[in-house]
Amino acid sequence: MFFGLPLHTGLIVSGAVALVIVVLTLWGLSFREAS
Amino acid sequence: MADLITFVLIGLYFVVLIGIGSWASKKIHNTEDYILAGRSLGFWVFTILIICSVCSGMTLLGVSGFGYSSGWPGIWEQIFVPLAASFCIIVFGVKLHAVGKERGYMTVQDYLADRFESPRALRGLSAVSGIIVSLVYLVGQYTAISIVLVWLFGIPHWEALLISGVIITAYTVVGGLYAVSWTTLIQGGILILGVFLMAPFVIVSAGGLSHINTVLAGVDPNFVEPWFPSPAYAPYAFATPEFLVSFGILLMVGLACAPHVINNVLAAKEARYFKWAPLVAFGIYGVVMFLVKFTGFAVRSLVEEGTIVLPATVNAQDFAFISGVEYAMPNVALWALFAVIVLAAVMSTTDRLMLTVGTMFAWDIYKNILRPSAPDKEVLLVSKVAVIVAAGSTLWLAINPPPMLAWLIWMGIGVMLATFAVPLLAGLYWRGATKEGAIASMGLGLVAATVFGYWHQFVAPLPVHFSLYALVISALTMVVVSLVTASNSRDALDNTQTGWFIQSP
Repeated sequence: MFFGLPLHTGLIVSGAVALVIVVLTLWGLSFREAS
Repeated sequence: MADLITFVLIGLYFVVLIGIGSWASKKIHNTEDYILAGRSLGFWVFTILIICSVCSGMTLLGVSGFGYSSGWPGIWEQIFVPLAASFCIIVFGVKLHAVGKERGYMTVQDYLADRFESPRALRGLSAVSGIIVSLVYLVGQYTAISIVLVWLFGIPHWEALLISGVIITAYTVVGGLYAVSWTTLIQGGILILGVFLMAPFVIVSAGGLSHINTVLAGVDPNFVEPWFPSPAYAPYAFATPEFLVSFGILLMVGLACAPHVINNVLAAKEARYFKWAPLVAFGIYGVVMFLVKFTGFAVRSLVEEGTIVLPATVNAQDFAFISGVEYAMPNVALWALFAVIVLAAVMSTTDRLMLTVGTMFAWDIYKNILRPSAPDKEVLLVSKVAVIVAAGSTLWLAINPPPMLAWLIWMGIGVMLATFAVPLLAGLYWRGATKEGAIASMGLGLVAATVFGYWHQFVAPLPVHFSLYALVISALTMVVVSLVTASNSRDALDNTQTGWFIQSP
């Protein structure tokens, strides 16, 4: 259980949020400031 | 409901807004100052402006209402909507800001006209459809404001509309984007702090998240699943996997290319803001959205346990946040703060929409189509008059809101997606996209969104959001028509940095 949720719901939702954060962080790291 | 503290706090809030408008009016010397705040917005003003342009009155009332009625399968809204801000900044913003600064764009229509070498047809079509969609959206915003004021003060509907309409119009007319962006910074701050302060109280008062989820699972076991099974077995169980895909595209792309959102990228002072603004916008907006959704879950739990009762109206779920705060926070001062928070959420979108309507009319239609010889002062005056006319006409409509208001607002977002997404994406990233392709895809997208929206509402429900069909038609039209018509000149493509890249190589 994950805060009273079925484990798969907790994993899918938190996984999606984590994925978005990772992608946006990678975007920030790869952004070229000079251009 | 109202007491002295509420009056004082709301009065103070209005005085601050008018003060910012007055300060901003001194900075307006030309049309660029008015429309784009002189391209001077700093990182936080720009980021909060993007967030609050996407966020609307629905953020507090509609999001918690959706959580109340559908449970966890609707949680994807909390990812898709904040992602609209990030998507706008990355996919549209980086390139539009760079090209816009170099080429002097004032609106996104300037870009479309330049990229597709269509100074009148495409500019006119996109400006007219942008104005219609923004006006529909505005009626919804004003209606939301009046609901809050009527409920708080018990004053007549038209008085509530007039008070809020006059104040928003005043600071928007005198201060342009300077006033809109700085008032939005204040409004955004109030919204964020307010939700951080209030939502945890409601969640804790309902027994905490684990208990809330247990109660939700007892109502319908699918309330704690990531989506509802397909096909939908009840009106509240529409968030099936296929619907969520179309919902995601609608919210993430449709809101990102809405004229009142995308135009903000032209006003950022420096390109380096685009580095971390997507993550910051997602982080701040995401936390706010999740907290508001959890509040909707908490109120459902409290209602199921018989602790509170929602008003006996058709849209009872929209009172979830209000009822939750009322129950969890009897303290009058905090209660007054809540009133300001809801007003801030709605007003921050309303002023941006009004300014966008004024801009599209004055700059795109009046200056660039009807009277190209008009001097700058005249365009500035027309902008201000257009803002007043937009405010007046939408206030008048909001006094007697159309019976299908909610449908019209969803229609508005669907039309934004079907009309603007393909010409903008193809224009920015595909050198083969042509002027005829852009006009055809925009026009057909507009017609298809109207037809499918009508079909879904009045003929037979569709399995996915109606805007997805219109988007596919718009994209196919762009590809087919572009392949059979002549490409734009190499100069136009190079000047607008067209190609399969986000940052110029």
